[in-house]
Amino acid sequence: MTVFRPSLREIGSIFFRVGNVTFGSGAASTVLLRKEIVENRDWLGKHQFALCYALARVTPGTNLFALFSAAGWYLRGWPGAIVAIVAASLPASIAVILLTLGYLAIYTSRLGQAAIVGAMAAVVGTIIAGAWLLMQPDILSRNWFRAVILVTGSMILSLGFSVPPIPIVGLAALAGFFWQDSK
Amino acid sequence: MSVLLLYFLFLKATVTSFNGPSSLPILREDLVVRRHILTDRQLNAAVVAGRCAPGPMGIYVVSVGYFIGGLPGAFAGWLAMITPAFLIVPLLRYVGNRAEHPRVRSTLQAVVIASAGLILSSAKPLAIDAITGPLPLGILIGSIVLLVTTRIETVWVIAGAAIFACVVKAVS
Repeated sequence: MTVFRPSLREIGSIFFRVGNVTFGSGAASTVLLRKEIVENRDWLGKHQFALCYALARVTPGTNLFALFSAAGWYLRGWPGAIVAIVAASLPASIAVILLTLGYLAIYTSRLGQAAIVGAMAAVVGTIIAGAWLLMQPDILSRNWFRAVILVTGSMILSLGFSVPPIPIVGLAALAGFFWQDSK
Repeated sequence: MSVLLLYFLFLKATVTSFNGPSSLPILREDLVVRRHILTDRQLNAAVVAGRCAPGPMGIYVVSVGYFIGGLPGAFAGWLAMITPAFLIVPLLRYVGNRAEHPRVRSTLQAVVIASAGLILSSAKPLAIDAITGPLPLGILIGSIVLLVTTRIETVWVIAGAAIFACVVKAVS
């Protein structure tokens, strides 16, 4: 059970800080949130946070926002969930809009174009590296064959047969349901 | 395109993905390939903006919305980004520990692995647009090595690549 019911303002303050100080990965935000609301403030118990984290992994969309939503709901119900999500996502979204405007502004200059070429190449690199990091635990495990089949199968369907992503995800879910790993 | 329709297109992508970049192939399919309201270059730029901003990777959807519909489009992107997060509340109330059932866990794990394949597929057209010579190719390889072998933040890799390309352009 929740040990303490913080005010919506306190929830907003914590989630604002946790959601808007890390870049590109939810791992650091997750660690920071746990430290703030479990260890420092006792707002949530360890098991409650663990359940929030586990369910966030299986909730569609951005896992980190699902974790924020779950923690906010535990603390103050639906208002807590809404405040947590808005405080964690709105400032970062405004930053994204400003960065997009910055992109449009520098695109006309010679050096700006060079910077964008470099940045875009790096972004493709981050996408490929991100995909590898996502599949790496399974590719390097005893269930590597299942992982390789799923990855190559989805790539062949997508690139070779132009199958849209949603049916591919559905097929993968079916495959996972009937073909369990050997753990 | 109306903001409402844009919201539903974004929502279709965010609600059927299990991490930020997984929505990329679906958005590209809908906005670039089918409706031609976004270019691969704009999509790539949106990913750049999303990676350079604080918060999770999926926030690039806000930039995509801005490219298509200005501030109302960005609002649609933001709303679609956060909407699926509220699905966890009924999950918390009614599903609870069933998420640990082996068959459910295996199903979700398979979806995540297949998503990695889809992410790699979505990188192909972006790479064709971005890798236009030896310098971008070198940056691509260097960034992959850095990100896979170190714990460096993505934003520093992108910023470093931009500065490096600027310096090369200035001295050439």
